[in-house]
Amino acid sequence: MVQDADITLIDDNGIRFDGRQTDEMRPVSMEVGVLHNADGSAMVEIGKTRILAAVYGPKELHPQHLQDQTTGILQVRYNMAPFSTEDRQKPGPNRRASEISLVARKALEPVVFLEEYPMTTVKVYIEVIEADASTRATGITAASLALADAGIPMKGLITACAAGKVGDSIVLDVASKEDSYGEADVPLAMIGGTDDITLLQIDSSGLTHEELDEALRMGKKGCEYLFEKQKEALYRQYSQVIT
Amino acid sequence: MTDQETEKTIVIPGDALEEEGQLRGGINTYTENGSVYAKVVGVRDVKRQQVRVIPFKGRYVPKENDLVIGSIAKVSGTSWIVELNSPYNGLMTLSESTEEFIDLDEHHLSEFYDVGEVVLVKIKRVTPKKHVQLTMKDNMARKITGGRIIEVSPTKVPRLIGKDGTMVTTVKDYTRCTIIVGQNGRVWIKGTYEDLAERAIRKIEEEAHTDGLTDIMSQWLEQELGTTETIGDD
Amino acid sequence: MTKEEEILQVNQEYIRRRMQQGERKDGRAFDELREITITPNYIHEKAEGSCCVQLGNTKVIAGVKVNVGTPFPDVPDEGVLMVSAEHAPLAASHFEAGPPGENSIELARVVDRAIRESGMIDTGTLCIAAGEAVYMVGIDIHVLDYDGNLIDAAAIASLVALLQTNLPPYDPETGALDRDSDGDALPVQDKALSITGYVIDDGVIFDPDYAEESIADARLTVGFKEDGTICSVQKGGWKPLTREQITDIAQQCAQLNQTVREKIKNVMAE
Repeated sequence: MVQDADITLIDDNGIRFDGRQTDEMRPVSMEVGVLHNADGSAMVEIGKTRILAAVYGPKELHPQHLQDQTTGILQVRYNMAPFSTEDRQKPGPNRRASEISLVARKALEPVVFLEEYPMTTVKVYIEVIEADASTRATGITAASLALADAGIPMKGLITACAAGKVGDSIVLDVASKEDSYGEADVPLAMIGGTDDITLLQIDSSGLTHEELDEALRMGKKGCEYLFEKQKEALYRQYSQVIT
Repeated sequence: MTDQETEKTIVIPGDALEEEGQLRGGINTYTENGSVYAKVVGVRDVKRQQVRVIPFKGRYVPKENDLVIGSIAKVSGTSWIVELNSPYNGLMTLSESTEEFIDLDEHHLSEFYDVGEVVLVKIKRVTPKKHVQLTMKDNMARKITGGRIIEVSPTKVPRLIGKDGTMVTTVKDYTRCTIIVGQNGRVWIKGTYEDLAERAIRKIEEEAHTDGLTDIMSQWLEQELGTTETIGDD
Repeated sequence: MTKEEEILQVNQEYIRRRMQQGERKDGRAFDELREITITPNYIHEKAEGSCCVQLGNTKVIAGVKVNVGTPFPDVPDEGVLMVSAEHAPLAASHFEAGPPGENSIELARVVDRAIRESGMIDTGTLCIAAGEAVYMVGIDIHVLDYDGNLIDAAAIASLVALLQTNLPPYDPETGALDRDSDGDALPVQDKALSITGYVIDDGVIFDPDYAEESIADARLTVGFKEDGTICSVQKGGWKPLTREQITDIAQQCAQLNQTVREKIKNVMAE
């Protein structure tokens, strides 16, 4: 039994504090085309985590010195709404948000055919509406849907989720309590339908090599599940268009 | 996925478009290890052994010989910068604006086209670095005044124009409007039943993937006109 | 914020021409609001009160966060009420990331003024222990989709969010709030709501979309208490207004204020 701050995160039968199995995700819902102004948009909810992503572009890039004659660029901004967390988020960038913006961009870039739009930018906004862990992973999943919805040429979709370690167990889709009191948080992003990992970060109090391998395996399973949900959301949105 | 050409298959980026290696990849596809995949969300379309994707969305990228509706963004001593509803602006030089000789000591370019004015203009050249050169030396090119401009998704422009212009002609005839469809998704409407024309264009945009849409639109316009004429419009 | 996205000149003229004929471009009457959707408790857990308002294509969330803090020395027995606003860059292509610009600050202050001056929140009731601990109630207005008339959307969202707000019990031992308990409802003395009229040439319209708002010459926001008296006003835009125009707009605002209050009442009753 793992106990911390009066919370039993996982019991002797491997059932987690919220009743989930180790390899079970929280309820997922995805919707594409949720905003009017943005060229592409998506809302993704995993448990109580809720993320809105919007894409504008390709558009003219300012300032001009950033323009690249051989390719377009991707600009990503991850932001938490002030009311999205227990303690109010002070508006404006902070080190955490800046780093997440960077790794999210790196996670998405490998699939976007930016060279088709030299001199331009594609702007991706990841807005955390309500946070209960896995916001960067869920944000990347939403951003990839918004890019597809904007008609940006891509090699495939990017899907992300977080594995973790609670007690001695590797678990899928860590919730906030597991993130705070658990042993590891392992967000990863993959190119849908492949084995390619485009984002990996680990925060852990100690992870064996076997556990790392198990976490990656678990993460892949989660991504495969979410990838199906992403496809469903896109097909659903656009089948309305043709019928 | 299905190979029946009559059925419309929605594809998303990364979807395999054919498995047998029979078809070549066309527009909005990429080929990897001999297989063809979709690059954008759209409808799979096969023609002459070539598979392509007709996109649902996407911004306009200037192409040579396209007629587009632009707005004058800047006037300098010898040229105009024209905003084209695209990631790329266009440049029109004095010599491309008219056949006549203009004495720059006597005239300023803003006397011809001023900031904010709207023009129907032709794309003369697009360089690999995406410099877009515009020209007014085309029968269609002109300044646009009056009426209204609506924006449709540039990906729906071919459908709106229709085969040999049949779709837009149908709307023009019924609504007694001049309608000019810019390839950049801007549509200028001016005439008797502008509201009806606008609604018709929105309907075509929404139902772009329906078969036999020209006939459907004729019937719809006929019907709407019956009610419109008694109520009046504009 | 980069240069505002400009409405094509042809379309600016079109809106004005049509208004001279007594019509709006989308067929609405001058004082007709767009379809309005009010979703209370939009933020399930993290905010103490919240509401999402959709006005046509404009979409705004107001979220209320309640914290505990030490009071200002000059008013040791009063809590704190604060309104902030952010034009999140996902809401329009010309919004940019960065510190709040003057538009965000004005939006927050106009909403704040109506709430404060109406006496809706008695800051005295937010006192936990004089000189030591008070509730600090912060309203954050977050713009998600911008298609005109943010002020009215934000005012509606803020009012409903405050009506939903609970004050989590204060635990004197830890000095923190017990957010897992429900707590009491935030005491509310009045209900402030603002409505804005926009002047284009000689006409006055309400709830404009972005194209209409961008060519407005002037605007007048009028805040009302529940009894229909005026608690705040903000004039905006470049064009001066006459006394006749102001009283006329205020009358029309009062009418719409009733219409919107009805809608809010219906939503809250559900």
